Amino acid sequence: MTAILEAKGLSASYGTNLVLHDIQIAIHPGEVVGLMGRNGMGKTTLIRSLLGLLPPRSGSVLLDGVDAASLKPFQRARAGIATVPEGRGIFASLSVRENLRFAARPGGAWTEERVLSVFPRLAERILHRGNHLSGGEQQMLAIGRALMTNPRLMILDEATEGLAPLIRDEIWHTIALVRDAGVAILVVDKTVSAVLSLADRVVVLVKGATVYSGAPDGLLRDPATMHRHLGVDG
Amino acid sequence: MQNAGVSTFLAQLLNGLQYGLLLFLIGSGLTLIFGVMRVINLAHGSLFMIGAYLAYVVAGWTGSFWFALPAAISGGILFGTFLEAALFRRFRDREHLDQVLLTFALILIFEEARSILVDNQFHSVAVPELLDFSIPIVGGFAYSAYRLAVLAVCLAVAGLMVLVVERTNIGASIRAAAENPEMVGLLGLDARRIHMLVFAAGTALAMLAGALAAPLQSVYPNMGDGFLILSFIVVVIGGLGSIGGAFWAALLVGTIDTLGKAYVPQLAGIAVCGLMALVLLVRPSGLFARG
Repeated sequence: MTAILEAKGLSASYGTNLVLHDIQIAIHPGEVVGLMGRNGMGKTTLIRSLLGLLPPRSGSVLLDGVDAASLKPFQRARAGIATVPEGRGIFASLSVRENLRFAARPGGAWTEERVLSVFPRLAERILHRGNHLSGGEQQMLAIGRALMTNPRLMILDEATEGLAPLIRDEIWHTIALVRDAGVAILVVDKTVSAVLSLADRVVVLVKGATVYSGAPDGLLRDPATMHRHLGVDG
Repeated sequence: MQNAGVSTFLAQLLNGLQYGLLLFLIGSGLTLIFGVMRVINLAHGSLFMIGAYLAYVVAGWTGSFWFALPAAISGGILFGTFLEAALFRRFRDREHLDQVLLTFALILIFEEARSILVDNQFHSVAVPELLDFSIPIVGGFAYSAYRLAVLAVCLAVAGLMVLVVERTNIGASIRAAAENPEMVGLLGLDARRIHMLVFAAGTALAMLAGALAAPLQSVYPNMGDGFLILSFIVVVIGGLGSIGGAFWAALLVGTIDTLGKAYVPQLAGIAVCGLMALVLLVRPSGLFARG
């Protein structure tokens, strides 16, 4: 099966500073891939490269098996790639409704009504501006807004960072719901247990290079890697 | 005697409001272009001048001023689209100094083109016959129907702009692009189209202001310079990127400038600058900046 989004031998740099080395990663339809690693290991840089925000230094990014080098970020988004970025990217001066409608791409299963039924708290605050929402509500809005684009693949970068445990649980529950609806997911998160329980495959990055790529079970059976690269003691 | 004083005050007050609304047409484009594209367009005053000359030329060719208004709007949309695609798009991510140099060069180019295509003389554009009369306002005071029409047109444009920017999906896109253009792209919208739309609209508004102003004053070289300076003051007082702010600030600046020139001419030049300095001291982001 052709991957929705794939990096082949991808290297990327900020100026002369090479931050990604020969990365291979593929996300297939309906699949959940966890991208893991400590801070500063290149996870967000990889996501930026996949989205077309950072051009590769070598290697390539493929969208539906075709080289995406000529595609700008908005064209990749229109091809069905939705993003919940680190920091959420909520438009502060737009209301909840405007944030949702602004992103809407009609014709898919995710409508405003469906998104609001998943996040009833957003329905209660529909006329509030983005900057008047709590952190948890902003995250719900960021996910809801991404769903409004009716994506085939949703990329979530640190979606539960800085949230209260209850809200985190709600976000993880929603991510599982999105997966069950058939949307492929690339998730970056520091909550290792949650990522491992949700993902079909995981990729661990260390200093911009892949040190593990495979099933979560394989990683769970490798406590040394878990400890050294993810800070988790088995 | 007292009646004459009241009439003069009312006339100056209305002149100030009408001047302020013309400043709004220029300043709203300026503030939108800066807010969305982060481009400082010093040539915006020249676009006002081009609008006035276009009105002069079109009114001369056709024998009717009324053709000048759609010509200014449609010409502004086309010209703005061209300028954005050919020049401003390439300078959006450049330093402000580069943008200032580009737009200063454009001022020189536009003035030279005006000199070659028209001439360097002062010209007048007749007030359209349909509105060439005075309307009694109160007591014995009557006011120019054309000036009142300009007030009405500017108010209608202001209302339409607020409606579009605050109440429509396109307006939401414009506000979103002003906040976070990268995120706009990640949601599947082409920010370049939004930039083009905003620049074309800003150009059309400045040229419409020039066309509306043509019958109110002479049409002459560099006539946009004074408007540009006051429009920048409007943008600073109103808050960068704020349409509502530009509206109220333009009324304030237009009224203070006009009443100042009428009653305390020796202070008129510094009155609005003093106001801007005060705003910068008390609320540097502008009176109506989005928080």
